[in-house]
Amino acid sequence: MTPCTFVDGASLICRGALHAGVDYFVGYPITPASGICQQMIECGVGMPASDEITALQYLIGASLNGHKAMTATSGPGFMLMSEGIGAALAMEVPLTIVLVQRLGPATGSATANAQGDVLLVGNIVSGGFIVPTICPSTLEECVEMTVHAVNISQLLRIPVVLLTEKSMVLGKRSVAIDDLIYPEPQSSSRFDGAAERFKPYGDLDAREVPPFQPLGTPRPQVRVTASTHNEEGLIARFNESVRLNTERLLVNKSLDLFPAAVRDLQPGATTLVISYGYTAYAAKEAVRNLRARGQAVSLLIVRTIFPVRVDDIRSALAGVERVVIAEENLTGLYRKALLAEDTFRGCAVDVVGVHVMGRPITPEEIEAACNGAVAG
Amino acid sequence: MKDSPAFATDAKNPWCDGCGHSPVTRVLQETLAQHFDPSNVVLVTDIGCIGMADSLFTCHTVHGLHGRAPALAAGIAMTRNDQSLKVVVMMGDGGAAIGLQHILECARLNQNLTLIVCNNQTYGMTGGQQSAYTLPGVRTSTSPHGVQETPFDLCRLLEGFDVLRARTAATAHELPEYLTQCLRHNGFSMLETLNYCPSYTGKFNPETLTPKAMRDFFAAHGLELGMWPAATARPSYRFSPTLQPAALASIIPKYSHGLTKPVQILLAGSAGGGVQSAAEIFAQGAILSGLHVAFRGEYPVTVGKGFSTAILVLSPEPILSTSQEHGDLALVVSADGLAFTRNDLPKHASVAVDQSLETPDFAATKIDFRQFGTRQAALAALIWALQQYHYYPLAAMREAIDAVRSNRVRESCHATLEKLGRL
Repeated sequence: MTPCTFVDGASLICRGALHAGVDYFVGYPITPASGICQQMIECGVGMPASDEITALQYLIGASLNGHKAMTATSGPGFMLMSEGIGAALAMEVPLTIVLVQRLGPATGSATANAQGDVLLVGNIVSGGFIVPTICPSTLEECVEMTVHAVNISQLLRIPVVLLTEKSMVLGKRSVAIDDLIYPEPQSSSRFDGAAERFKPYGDLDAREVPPFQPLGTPRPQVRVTASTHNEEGLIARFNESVRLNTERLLVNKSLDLFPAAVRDLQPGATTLVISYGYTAYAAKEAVRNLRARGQAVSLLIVRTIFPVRVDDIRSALAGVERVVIAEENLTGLYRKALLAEDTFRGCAVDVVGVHVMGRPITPEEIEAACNGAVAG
Repeated sequence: MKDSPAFATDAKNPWCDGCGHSPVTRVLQETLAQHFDPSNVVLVTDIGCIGMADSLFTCHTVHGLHGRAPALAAGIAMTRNDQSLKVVVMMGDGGAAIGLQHILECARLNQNLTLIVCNNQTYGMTGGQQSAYTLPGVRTSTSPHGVQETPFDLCRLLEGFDVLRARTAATAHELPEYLTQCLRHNGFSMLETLNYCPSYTGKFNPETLTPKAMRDFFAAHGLELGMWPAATARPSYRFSPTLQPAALASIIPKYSHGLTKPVQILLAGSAGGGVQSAAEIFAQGAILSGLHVAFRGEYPVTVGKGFSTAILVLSPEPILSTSQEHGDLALVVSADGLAFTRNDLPKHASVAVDQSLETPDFAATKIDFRQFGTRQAALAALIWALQQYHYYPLAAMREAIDAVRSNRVRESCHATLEKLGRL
């Protein structure tokens, strides 16, 4: 028989983090993310901070020393971290933030499952810049998606969010140990040229990312700043060089790094269900039930929330007339994000949201929306 | 700015003539050059006029957010594997107000860094506004009639932390000595330099904030100058990862189950009544029998009072959604559990409650679950369910109990299982 384990998402996220090489975790406790903090401290790589603002600053400092840095929080803590996340993005400092979502607004409800922080994540950095956001849709994927999140943060030198929910992090399931996938850990490339040639934000690789040089190694001099800067890492007035140095912080050029959606497409299906995170379980069950009743229906489980992989979604729209987007929040937040990205432009599709707040979406609700009911 | 070539660049001094930031920066460059190599020093600068210092230094520089420089610097200082990197922070009095908690945290943890607070009595970069350190009577653009409030005194605020503190005028002859002591100190040191902003506070207060008058003015407001060493050699905070990953507990199924379709069980009791741990044992027994299990617990954030519930789904096939509203079996072992789940209980095909509970509005089997004790009633209910519905063998439950870590709890659980087996 296959060896199984009975485990929650928090444990699997920690396993993924340790496999990816995370060696510095700072956390301020917040329900429902506290378990991740506690486990990382138990594993010997974590420490508490006095608040989330401090936690983000500690992470930036540690990351500049070459540590792989991570934290975990929920909506209210994430809002406190926002200025630090923006600074990390501008500085090109890799770090990973596990966000266990809440309902909103404000402190919302600490103990309800929710996907209420989606658009908060999508707009957490000013200027239209995007914090890459990866989302496991099964408990098993918590390991794999955590490793991907850390790897992307390293390869693009950027803060990355691992987007989760209470049921994913605190809920336990039997998991076949062999089903856990551990991608190869990746690290930022290091500068290996002559010291006098080093420019902290120069010498870009094919992804337009500069090589990383930890602080304190004997030469070259490292300069880092959160303000708009030149290649030397010094604050500079906005000019062409600064514009190029800033524009390349958009990650849309590196979409190949981001996990593709799980596609379960059926020939002849005119309905496509799109979901993500813990709600994907209900979406899968709805699709299974519809097919058992003889209906053709396709399913797309999105695992990269931001940047929106428009190509990935559009390639599943052939023949589709109705798109049903299921998520646990009040107004259909990811549906809005997809519409804002013109995901469905030129496609003759009805985009229908199934969204509820404060309780799990049932497969029956998704099935009803597939069959023409106006939900949400 | 060319006096200390090791640390000074050729960049032009950005500050106004007469600004205290210039002499402090010059003395810092000179003092660093006497004791350190630029590759072993990182300067973290805060937002504000002082944040323009980066380009003047040949060492590593990090320019962050307003008030956060001490926290960022602490992240650098505490995660070094060696002692070779000297971390220095420069911030103004505005940043020292925004980031006061970070400064106190640095002192509390005795972070190994030197903080230089260049107090010029104002926010110079944004138009000469009052800061939380501006002294009474000083006119600023936001206190045109003079500050009325009592300002922060950073040296006094740090008094209880046993760290090295110093304060002097930005142009004082003691500055090199104070800086030397701070930079060579192992642990947290804070040097506050006093001056005024020639473009704002100097112009607004020509009687008091001048090179000649300012020392008397500061003294008149009780700002004591001097250096106060740490009384003890307290170790500085250091983060040392010692990786100890926990292994996943492997369960190899070896029993047979009796299910052909999923069942959903609601277990409801009181916080502290062993509901969550009973559900966990029950789940382990199910996995030992080759079943798939999904489990979610719910309880108040206070965890020690009120209800505690567990929803368990057992299935011969992989489990997807657990959101079904209609369960197969509800087990209620306490009044707290009944109160919390009362509306959901009629949605279950079968309901069994402890015999002490009244359920006039729906039919329920009454069982004396609590005869096994308040902490064993939840497990007793699940064992009873196994006996009634044969989801999986009691032997699997027995083996799951064997895995309970606490001797006392394990023995209690076994006793409950054996006693129920005899009934």
